[in-house]
Amino acid sequence: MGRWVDVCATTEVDEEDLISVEFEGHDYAIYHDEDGEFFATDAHCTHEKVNLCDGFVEGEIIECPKHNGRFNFKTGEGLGSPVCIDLKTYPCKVENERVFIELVEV
Amino acid sequence: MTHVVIIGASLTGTSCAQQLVQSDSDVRVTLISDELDVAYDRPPLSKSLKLGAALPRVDLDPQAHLKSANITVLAGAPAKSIDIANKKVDVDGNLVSYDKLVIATGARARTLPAFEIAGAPIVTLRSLADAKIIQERLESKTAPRVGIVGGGFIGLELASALSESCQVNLFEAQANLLSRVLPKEISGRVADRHAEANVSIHLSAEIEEIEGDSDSVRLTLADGQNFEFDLVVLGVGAVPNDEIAGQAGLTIDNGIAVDETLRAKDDVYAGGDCCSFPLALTGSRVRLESWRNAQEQGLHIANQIVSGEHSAFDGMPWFWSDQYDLGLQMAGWPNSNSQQVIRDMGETLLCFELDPDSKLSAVSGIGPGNSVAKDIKVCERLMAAGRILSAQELADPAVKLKKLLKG
Repeated sequence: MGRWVDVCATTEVDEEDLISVEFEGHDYAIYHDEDGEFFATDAHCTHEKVNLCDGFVEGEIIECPKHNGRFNFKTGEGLGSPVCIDLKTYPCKVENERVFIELVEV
Repeated sequence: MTHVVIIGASLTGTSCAQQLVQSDSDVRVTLISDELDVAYDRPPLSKSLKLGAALPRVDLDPQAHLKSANITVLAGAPAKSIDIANKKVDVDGNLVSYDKLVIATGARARTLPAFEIAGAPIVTLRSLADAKIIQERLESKTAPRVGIVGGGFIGLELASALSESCQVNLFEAQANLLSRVLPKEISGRVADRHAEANVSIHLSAEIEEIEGDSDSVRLTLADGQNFEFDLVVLGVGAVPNDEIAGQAGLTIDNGIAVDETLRAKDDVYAGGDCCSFPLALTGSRVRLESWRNAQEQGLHIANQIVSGEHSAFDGMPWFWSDQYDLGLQMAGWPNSNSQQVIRDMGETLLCFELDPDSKLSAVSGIGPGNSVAKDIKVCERLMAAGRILSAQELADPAVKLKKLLKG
């Protein structure tokens, strides 16, 4: 079991958009999809460590703001060149209009 | 088994090779590079070169696809000629046969005859080896003085990267920086940021005299100003490496002329900085020096070879530059009749080029970090969809661009 961490308010993330939040020195990307659901991944593109928070969200795809790398932010799957490595995802839930992500200690 | 020979192991060649072996196990690739170091990314060379630090080498093949059994890399082996009729490439004296040929020879930095002074520290920046020469030369001086000739992206990025450790003077012949590619509202912000970092930018600079020896280079401007530098870097554009293609009888027109599928001839493709192609957006023939174009054309060629079917390349021109904490992005292709519309959001600024028929033809933006990326991406969609837009809405920061895409 991991611990659930409060990372932001639901109102901080526009629909079909994302923000980057920092927790204990690590950056996480929090997504708000068109259906109002929230998702979380690592914030940095696996390709050249660019923060995805300035990237473009369309459907369930996040596109890196620099090199066009695309990921499915719900599964973390990298979608073709130049992305070779999948993005790590985290369980995410909403309680009392706050967004929580689950972190598992290694 | 299809044997694909790729000449050039930079972004286009590497992307093409990776895509080929990842999508088809029945293909064998020979990747030829005149450089010893292959598959490194070029943008960091001007954007991130620092003194007293490691060279900014970013690997284009972190997963080591080029080490797969289906790829042979011939590094430090220049392709000397192509025999199209017999489908062979002369690689440093050895003949290599191909079924499909991909020419991805890129471009090289332009030089100027007046700056060709034997033994003087005057260089260009294109390769990792060039970056190493610049770094070593400047690291050998206590208060290095650098002169940069040319206010294009390479020169400006290098000025920004070196500004903390060197005294930098930059000379531009035009009255504005980047005047051919950016509106003055944006280039003005670039100039201001350089001034803040104590980079001296000389606009409308006319260099009258150049003298040099192994120790330094002296420049005199037409207005009488004198400068002495430990190193001069020329950033005056690039020329396509199209000579071996031309000698092989392929058509040259501002680079190797390819059709909309990136074919120069049957079984011969060219992609990236070395080729000119009909731009899907406008139909006009262009040659792009752009990271994304180089990558996408490499992939497009590979996909056609794998599928055996030809399709038109429809990539969108897109460019970026990083200077200090600022990021610039541009997309599309400006039309000479377009109207400029500015959206000023304080720290970030967007400039739209609106056609007479109210469609967006190009956009450029500047802001901290990657802050303009989302808006530029939305604009790419607006252009691809051919949306009719109003100048008033585009200028109004309260109107979300994503809304215009949906509306």
